[in-house]
Amino acid sequence: MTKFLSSDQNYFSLLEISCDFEVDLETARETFLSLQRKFHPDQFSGCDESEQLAALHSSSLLNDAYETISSPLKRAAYLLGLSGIDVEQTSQKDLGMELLMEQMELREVLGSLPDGEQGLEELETLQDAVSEKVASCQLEFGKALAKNDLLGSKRLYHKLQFLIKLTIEITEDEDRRLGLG
Amino acid sequence: MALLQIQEPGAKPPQREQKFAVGIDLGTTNSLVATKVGSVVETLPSDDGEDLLQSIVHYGDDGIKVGREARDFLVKDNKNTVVSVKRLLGKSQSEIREFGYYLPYKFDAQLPDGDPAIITRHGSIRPIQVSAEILSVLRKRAENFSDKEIDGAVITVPAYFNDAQRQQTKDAAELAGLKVLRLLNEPTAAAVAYGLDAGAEGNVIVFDLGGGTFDVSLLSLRGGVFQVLATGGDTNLGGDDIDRLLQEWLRRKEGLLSDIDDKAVTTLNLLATSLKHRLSFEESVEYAFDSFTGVITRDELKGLCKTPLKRMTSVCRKVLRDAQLEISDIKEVVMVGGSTRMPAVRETVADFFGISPLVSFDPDKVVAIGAGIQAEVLVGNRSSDEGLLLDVIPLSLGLETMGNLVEKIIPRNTTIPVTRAQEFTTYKDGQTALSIHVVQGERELVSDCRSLGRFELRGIPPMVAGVAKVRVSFQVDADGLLSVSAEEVSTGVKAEIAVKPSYGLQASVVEEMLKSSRENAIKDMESRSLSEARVDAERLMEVVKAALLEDAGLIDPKEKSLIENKCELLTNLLRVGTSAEIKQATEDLNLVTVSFANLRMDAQIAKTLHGESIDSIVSE
Repeated sequence: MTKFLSSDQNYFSLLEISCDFEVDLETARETFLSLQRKFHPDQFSGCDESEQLAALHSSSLLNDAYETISSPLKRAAYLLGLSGIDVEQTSQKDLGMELLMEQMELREVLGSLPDGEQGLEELETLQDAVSEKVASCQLEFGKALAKNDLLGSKRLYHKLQFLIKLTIEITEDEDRRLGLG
Repeated sequence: MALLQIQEPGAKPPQREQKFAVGIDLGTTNSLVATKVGSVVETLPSDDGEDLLQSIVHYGDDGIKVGREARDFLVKDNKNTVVSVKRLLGKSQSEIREFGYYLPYKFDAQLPDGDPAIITRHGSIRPIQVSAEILSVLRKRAENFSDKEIDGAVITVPAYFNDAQRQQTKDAAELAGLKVLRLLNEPTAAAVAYGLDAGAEGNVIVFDLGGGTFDVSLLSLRGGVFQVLATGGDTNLGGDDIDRLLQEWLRRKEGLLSDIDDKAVTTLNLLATSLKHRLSFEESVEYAFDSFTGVITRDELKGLCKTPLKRMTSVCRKVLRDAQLEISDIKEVVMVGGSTRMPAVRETVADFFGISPLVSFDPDKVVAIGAGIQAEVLVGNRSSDEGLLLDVIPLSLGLETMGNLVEKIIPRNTTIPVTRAQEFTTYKDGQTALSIHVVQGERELVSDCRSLGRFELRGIPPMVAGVAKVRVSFQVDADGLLSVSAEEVSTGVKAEIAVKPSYGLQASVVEEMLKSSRENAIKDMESRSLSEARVDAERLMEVVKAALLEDAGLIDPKEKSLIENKCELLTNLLRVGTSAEIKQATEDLNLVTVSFANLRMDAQIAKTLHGESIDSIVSE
């Protein structure tokens, strides 16, 4: 009888990487793939229902773990969660005025671009600027968390969340301009 | 009698018996079945030597015909001849009306919108029944080939298929008596065919242009694991569209804009298809229709296809973007589907990706072969180390929230299987039920997405409003099929869930169809065996009666009356008996005539030895 994975296990230890914001994605992926080879429901297609169900749970857990670890935003939220901070419980005043102002400014830039393909070049400039901000925000988050500055890292998490949301909106905007719907 | 096998401790287990598994490509235009032949997986031909079974079903006066035989009725009897049924799977009547092109069928208006059925001379036929007819033919083809029953089948579906379309494919397979090991995305199957054999590593685009559907998948192949990174496509784009564009061009050119009957439309369609095929091999082709003749060139055809070709590259671009990869990250492009034989399509793909696409497998067979290989793995004949497929969910799953808005709970391109939970609460004191509406799609408004079903949660313990926390888990399995379960968090009470699928059939209707198909199969078998038993009985009685007329003198009256008695019994049973009763009585008659037959044989030999010529014996 196969010993299946327990959902209590920390995603970092499950994927055999150290519990930091800076992660070795290569190792995480190797572990993920080798565990999936072991637990994927396809490996149990001839087995009884309880084993198939257990495989489904283990495989879902692995997918969730790998997705969480490989996405910087999800990884950050997960790490904060391990320190007892729920990122869903946030009020406007936790965010700080500075962050709110920056959000509004960037959003205004996106909203004021010329329509259609004309705005494409400026859109790309904005995209590059946001990408840089994402990278530096991630760096700061890692540092704050390492210093156990939980409030600071929570604020940086929300900054990152906003920047990544903006990145998606920029991409969607670009899709529309290119007629990709 | 079989004995229990007792094994020596430590002895090697006996070699596991090879199971019989097949891969089936249930296509819009053609369908195929593949299995292991010797050491490789191959597609199996029909008795006529054709591997491709045309996905056409005709409901005729003298029974149901599938494939080429059904095609003969396309023009003569188009209302009873169903083509491209795959496009109807999981669709509602109103969606089918919105296809934007002409279908000759009448749909049963008595049934709800979500449950379309074509009115044929065999009654109202649902799309899954039409698909099941095609699958049955392939099942029999495979079982005749190996003389074994199929242990399991992998059935392929377009990566873009939503939950309703996947569920109906699975239902159709069950209706055809197949055990489904896995629904496999068609592009993934193609990659399995190429990847396992070549041991390739890297990012691969699978470009699949079939008769009615277009799929692009981006897969990463690494360390024996195939992972779908992103998929995109269009469930209403394929070779049929090119035929239609060509047909419209012909009509414009020849001034056949209106006043054209159904039969002429079908004939024009067949002409367009054949022109398209020939233009894959020739630079220009001459055509004739009624009194019109003309010429079309390959370039003219490419010009006609501008819009669909542009749509194809747009989809490729979007898939790359979803996976956050550049064109230069793509190592190979695999071509799948008969429509990729078109030079215009190959050129467009080569130009876009800057590499020549892989075409070494027959693009019509590669999906079935990949499915056959995966079936071998899943049934346990082949080590699972050789391949593991991690697919993604093609469309986001969401819930209806206040104001007709969708809240996404599982975004598209999430690797499956996946489980996501969401907590809900009650808004009234003592409320014991909640209604959840699950939709699939990328848009923000519920009305722009496809409704998958409504789930009623009942049996929530009555509490003050907002205190009960109902945790609803949405689980998508490796086939991409959704299931929902719910639990009240504080008390641990499981809520009951009643599913009302918005599209397709209620589970009970499918169950009813399965039951009646099983009953019909038993009935069919009984009626076949009954008619065989009758024929055997009649043949024997004819021989016995002739013998009695000739040689009754050879036996004593008691034996003669015994034989006549048995004959009479059998004659009576012929009309009312079951096949088993008739067989038994036939056997009885056979037994009581053994000595009579021996006596006649002796007499015959004696007669021969008395100088009769060989000729007269032979002529008797």
